[in-house]
Amino acid sequence: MNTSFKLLKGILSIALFFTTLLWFIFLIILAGLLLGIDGNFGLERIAEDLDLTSKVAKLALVTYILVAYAAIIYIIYTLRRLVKSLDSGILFTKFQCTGFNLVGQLIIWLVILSAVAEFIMKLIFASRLEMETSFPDFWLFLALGAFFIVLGQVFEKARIMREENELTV
Amino acid sequence: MKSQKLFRNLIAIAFYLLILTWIVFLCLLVFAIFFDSTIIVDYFNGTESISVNSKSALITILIYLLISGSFWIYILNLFKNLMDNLIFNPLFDRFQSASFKLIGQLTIGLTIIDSIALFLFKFIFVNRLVIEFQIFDFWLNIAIGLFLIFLSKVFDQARTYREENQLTI
Repeated sequence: MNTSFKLLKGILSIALFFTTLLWFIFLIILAGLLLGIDGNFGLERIAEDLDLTSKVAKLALVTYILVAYAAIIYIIYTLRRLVKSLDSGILFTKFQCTGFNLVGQLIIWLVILSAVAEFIMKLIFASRLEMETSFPDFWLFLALGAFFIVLGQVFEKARIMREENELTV
Repeated sequence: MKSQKLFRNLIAIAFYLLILTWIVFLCLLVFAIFFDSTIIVDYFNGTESISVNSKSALITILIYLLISGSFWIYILNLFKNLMDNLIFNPLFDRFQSASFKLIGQLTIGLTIIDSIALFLFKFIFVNRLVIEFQIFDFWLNIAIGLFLIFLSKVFDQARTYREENQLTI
């Protein structure tokens, strides 16, 4: 399992590091906004065609990003733990079944909630805030979430099968 | 069972949509070669991700998209068959682990080839062809591919484990 495991673990570790770093950067930006420091902090690059004149729009955008990133960090962290657990050699444990299920559900909820949050922000800030939702990405992540849930169910079936086999032996 | 059906339907929808897109690109290619290419060039320039300024660049990119698209269609078809197999057939057979491995390898290979092709096109068609490259999508595809290869090894181990158990009984 070495090469693919090491590469996958490496990518997940790098992703975890960068998302955590970004989360801290956005936390500093939020603190700056709350302390009354004026400026866009590069937020116009995240939400294109954005008129960042309102402080409320900036605060809402940064808070939304912080919450979304926190969920992403947790998903990547759980995935990393799952990959490590699978590589340990003990297959179909309760943790693996629930872990896949949890990651899948979290991805689906995150995708749906972020789409709803973007829609609500568009409604509230009307001309002040305009964000673009990437349509294929929405379905890609939804499929990815459903895939993890399916995998969780497959692992659950396998766990039951293994336990029955062990009892028979 | 719900998530299994949802995932299977999402894959099926993506599969048919990709075939439809492939046919549209084929029609565009035929139209660009035998009729008027300026309309298609204007259409591409209206989008954000691709900017084409010559007929040769347009034909090259369309041919490349058709070749690359046919491989993605093949991957989705494999995934569709794999999902059917996971839902309706016994778990951990040879087909499932081989499919996971093949899909993972093809995803990684195609993602790398797509990126190299984009890089080469930038050199060949300087100022005539501009395509947006997304680094996040690149790493996401690589991670998904690696995860599937990793999963194929887990399924292989599980198959051996199941066979050993059956022999013991």
